[in-house]
Amino acid sequence: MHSEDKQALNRLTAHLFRENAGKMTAVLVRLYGIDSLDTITDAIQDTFESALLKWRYSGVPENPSAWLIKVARNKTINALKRDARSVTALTSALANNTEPEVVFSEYEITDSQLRLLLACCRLDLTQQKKMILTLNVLCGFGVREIANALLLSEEAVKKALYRAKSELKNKKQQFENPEKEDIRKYSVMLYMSVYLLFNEGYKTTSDAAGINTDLCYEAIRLAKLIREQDTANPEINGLLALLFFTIARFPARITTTGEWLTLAEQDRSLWNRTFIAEGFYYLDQAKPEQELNTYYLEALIASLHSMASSFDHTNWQAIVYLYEQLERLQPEAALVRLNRIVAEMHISITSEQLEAIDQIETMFGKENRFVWLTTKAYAHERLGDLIVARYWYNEALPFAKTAMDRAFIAKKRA
Amino acid sequence: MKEFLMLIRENTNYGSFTAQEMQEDIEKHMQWVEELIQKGHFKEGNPLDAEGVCIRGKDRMVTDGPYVETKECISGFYFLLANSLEEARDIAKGCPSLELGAMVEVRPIMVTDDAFGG
Repeated sequence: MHSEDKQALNRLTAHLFRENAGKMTAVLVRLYGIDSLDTITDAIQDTFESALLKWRYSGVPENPSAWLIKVARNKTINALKRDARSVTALTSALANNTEPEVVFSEYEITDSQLRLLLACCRLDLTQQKKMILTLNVLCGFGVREIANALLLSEEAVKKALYRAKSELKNKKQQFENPEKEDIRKYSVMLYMSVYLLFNEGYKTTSDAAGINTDLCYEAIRLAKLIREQDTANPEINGLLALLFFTIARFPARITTTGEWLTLAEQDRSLWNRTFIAEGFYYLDQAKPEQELNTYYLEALIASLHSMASSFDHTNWQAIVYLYEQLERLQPEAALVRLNRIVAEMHISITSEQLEAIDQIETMFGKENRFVWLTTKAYAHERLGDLIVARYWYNEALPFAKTAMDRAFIAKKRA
Repeated sequence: MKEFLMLIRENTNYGSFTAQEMQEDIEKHMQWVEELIQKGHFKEGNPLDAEGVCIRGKDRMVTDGPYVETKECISGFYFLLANSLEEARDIAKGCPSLELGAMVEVRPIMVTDDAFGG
């Protein structure tokens, strides 16, 4: 390339490669079968290497996504042809190779990704393994990135991936010939996987970053993908609204020195207004026609926080009411109960709420005990009993999972 | 301004790179080249395909090569414009491939016309 060709350089959009890794995997796996997953993964890696070598010099082509998928498809076909062992894959590869310049429609790409996501969600594996697989095949995360994001060792991620991929191949029927009704039937699983992915990003603390925003953005991308299939579906709209209201608060949630701030302490001017507006856009389309769903209720609660000019001006009455509705839908959910009690405390604090907190102690396992203990401490704090509050904050310390948790306690004890 | 050839030798196997890392590498290079263009140091540059043949001696012995897996393989070249070898050297030090362990070679291009008093 000559210097004069270089005037207007195309830029790559953020995470273009990651996103395209997921799209290409989904489309190619659909064309050439799950059995070819490893060949396809290698071909995609190869494609990125070619792009790296070329684009460094010539800049980004006009339509980088189209370039990538074309090259990845050709590399996959060549690899399948070379690989004599995959006879069946070869026949389907050749059968699909009638058009040399096949262009994949947006619909095809979306549909393939949804199918693959669904196949991942349906596997009979732990939630964590499914998440690792999803991050790898649909979100283009490498082993190192997954290990960092989920606070696991690379070895553990490799093992989990190996296991999950072979399970995916075993259950290829679920991907290759899903029943027509599948997306609707299994939508609950899809929503849950997105919700959990977002939560994982919200709670994992790598370094001082506190919130692993990459995971949260991936969750939002997948949620939008699901919504494309059925834009009027109240549940997915509710989920998206919830995710946007939550992500809007991220900039205010952590101090520059890396400490958590509670809702009461946050500088609300830092909340991202664009995301809040987006939250309301989806909330408008989330009103359920018949049954209530948890995402809608949680989104409504989040919207009330977004609208409040300050912590004290929050509509706690409405929030308590919404938590009560949530409790009806999820009587077993300990955190929902606890949150309802906390919301009540913000209307007026009495010793009754302390009793209520004590009553639900057994609903909290070791995993959640930190939240229960800090809430109990907080109730005492609100009652003005600071010495007792400090005692319970101390009790919570051994259950702290992250550096942020510990910093939070340290601040409370100071 | 004098002309310099910059050769990049590197192992072009990026097997352990994640998609995100590869994208970031491209962005770094693009930014670097853009800077060179703005400062008038860039004339031309292209990558080299990994495939190739070597032909040796009067027997015209043909072998495959170069070998991509070795660090000695030239992955691409640039023609740079600079006032001196020192300046060209400092420009070449900014090449992002060095971060990944590449070796960069800078050679002044001899102006043969000079011999005829040009």
